[in-house]
Amino acid sequence: MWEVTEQRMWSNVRLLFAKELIGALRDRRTMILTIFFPLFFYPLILAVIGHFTTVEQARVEEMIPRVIVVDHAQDMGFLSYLQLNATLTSLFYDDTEAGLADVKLGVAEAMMLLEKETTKPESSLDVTLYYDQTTQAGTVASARVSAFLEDYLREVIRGKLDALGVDYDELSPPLTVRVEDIATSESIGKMIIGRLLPYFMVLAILTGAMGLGAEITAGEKERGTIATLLVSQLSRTEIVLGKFLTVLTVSLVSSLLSAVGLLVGIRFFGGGLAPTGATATFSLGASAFGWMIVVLVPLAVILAALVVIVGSFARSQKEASTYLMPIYMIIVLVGLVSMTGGVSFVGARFLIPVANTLYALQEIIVGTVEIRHLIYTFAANAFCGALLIAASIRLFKREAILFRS
Amino acid sequence: MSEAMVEVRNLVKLFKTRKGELRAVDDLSFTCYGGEIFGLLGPNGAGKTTTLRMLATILTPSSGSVMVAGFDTKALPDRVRERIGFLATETGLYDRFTAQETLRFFGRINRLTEAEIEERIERILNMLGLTALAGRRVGTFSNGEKQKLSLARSIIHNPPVLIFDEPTFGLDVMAARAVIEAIQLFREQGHTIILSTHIMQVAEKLCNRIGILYHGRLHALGTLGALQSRFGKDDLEDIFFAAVGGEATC
Repeated sequence: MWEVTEQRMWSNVRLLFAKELIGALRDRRTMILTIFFPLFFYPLILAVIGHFTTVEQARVEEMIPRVIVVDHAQDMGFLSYLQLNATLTSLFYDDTEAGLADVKLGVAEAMMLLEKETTKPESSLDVTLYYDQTTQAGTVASARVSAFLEDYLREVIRGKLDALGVDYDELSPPLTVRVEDIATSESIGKMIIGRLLPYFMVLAILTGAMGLGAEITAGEKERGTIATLLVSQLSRTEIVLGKFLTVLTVSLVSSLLSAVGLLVGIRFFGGGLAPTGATATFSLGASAFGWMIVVLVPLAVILAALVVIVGSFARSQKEASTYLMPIYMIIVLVGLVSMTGGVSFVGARFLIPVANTLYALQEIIVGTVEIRHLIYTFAANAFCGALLIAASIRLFKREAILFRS
Repeated sequence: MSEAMVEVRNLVKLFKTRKGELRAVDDLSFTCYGGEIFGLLGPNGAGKTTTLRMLATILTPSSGSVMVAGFDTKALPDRVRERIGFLATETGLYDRFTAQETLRFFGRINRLTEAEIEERIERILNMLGLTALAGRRVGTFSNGEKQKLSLARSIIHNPPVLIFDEPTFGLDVMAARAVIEAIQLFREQGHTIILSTHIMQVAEKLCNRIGILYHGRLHALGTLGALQSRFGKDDLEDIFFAAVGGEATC
């Protein structure tokens, strides 16, 4: 008897699920948001970003920074060396304040203030370098001026040693420094994918759920079709489960297609996303992608159930969208923090929904995944998802909620 | 007399509002017999929709009882839903589905076999003059066509009791006429029909018996002839005002 009842229940759920899914497939807005947008917009955006990043990097490399020089030292040796330097363009000012003002205005990228240091036994040149680190040009100018000053220092030391009869080139340096980056182009690629993909996949779950979810819950109330469903031989539990499964399916499809669009975009146009001077190769194994889906499903259950709850409570689609905004903002903020890589996310923190998924996905992509993190993530999200499904069914049975006016 | 298909006894429905408790339906009692069209006549806010929603198991009575086709709506709502067809004020249709798809869906959730569904779709669409629209999406229908399809949806599973809330709401004279004729046809086929309306002419044309509802209470009940005799008026609108007496307010 119980088996027949249960069979009938799932048969009814499938009926409603099929009807809702067909309705969704016939809705132009859902198709645009779920299919067209992720598959075409993401690669397009990455192509545009990649193009402008490459152009900007080339511009910066070819740039000869303008440096304002305020000379209170009258060191002819330095000035001669400066004028021979082809990597900088010098603009000579008398007034320090005027020079700083023009750096802020962008007339020049940096300023050197030259003063005589007279407190030491032998007077030397005191150089203060001013630049604006908030601009890329300022940072490049600062690096070029620093390199120039190092060269000048080396020449001055060489001259002093020559005067003492010592050949600078024959001196053994007490310290030699070589910097080797052990990151491979593959690991750089994984780092980039690991920062971007989880954020967009998680966000796509919610955006996919929000659009359709509000329509098939609050929208039913707005259109007046809810009464027809309630009078049918579908129980309220079956109605909620049918709608929940529809929202879950569409949200997961949205997430998967976002991943495909993003990966295609990164693969072909992501070169500009690599750090300056580095190259990145982009790949994601099928096994890693499979594990990502496994981790994403419980989070999709949570978000789909939340959307159904909010939609059941709201009187209209617009009201539902308003109530869902705080959830959207939380995911955006948590996602942005996860992209910076600045937060240490370990151990029991993997019990926190949404954040746990973002960091678990990052670990899977980069290849540093810990099994206990996956277990915590799956268990915590599955538990929350089950609670929210039960809450959505309970809420849907309440007249005061269903017929709020 | 035919058997009682709908029995309402001391029905009360209370809603909690910010201003306190609203008694939307106040100690309502009436019986609807097999094969008749029973009309609940009253203005907006009289309690008609609330009453019909309680009959249809959408709302639960605060007190009192409702028996539909022999089953208590509170104790056995599933059994009641098997035996009713419901038409809300809104058409309750999905714009992206065709007429056939709509009827097929409701036929399936009302547990008809595929053979039964196809046979009934053809017959009902033909009966209501909708055959030519079978493959068209509901979103392209006129209001009258949508209302007729809603009627078709409500009878796809051949329920003995039909509950129609303002069936001619928002329809022009041609469409309203078509709906009235369809409802008369349903009565001829043996269905028991309870409908609500605020339009006097609809009640006059369709109803075997009329219940005058105002502020949640039944002020008069009977055939049109009985009401005319009781209140000494011929016009149903005059009968309405005579029945509600001093309570009538704008």
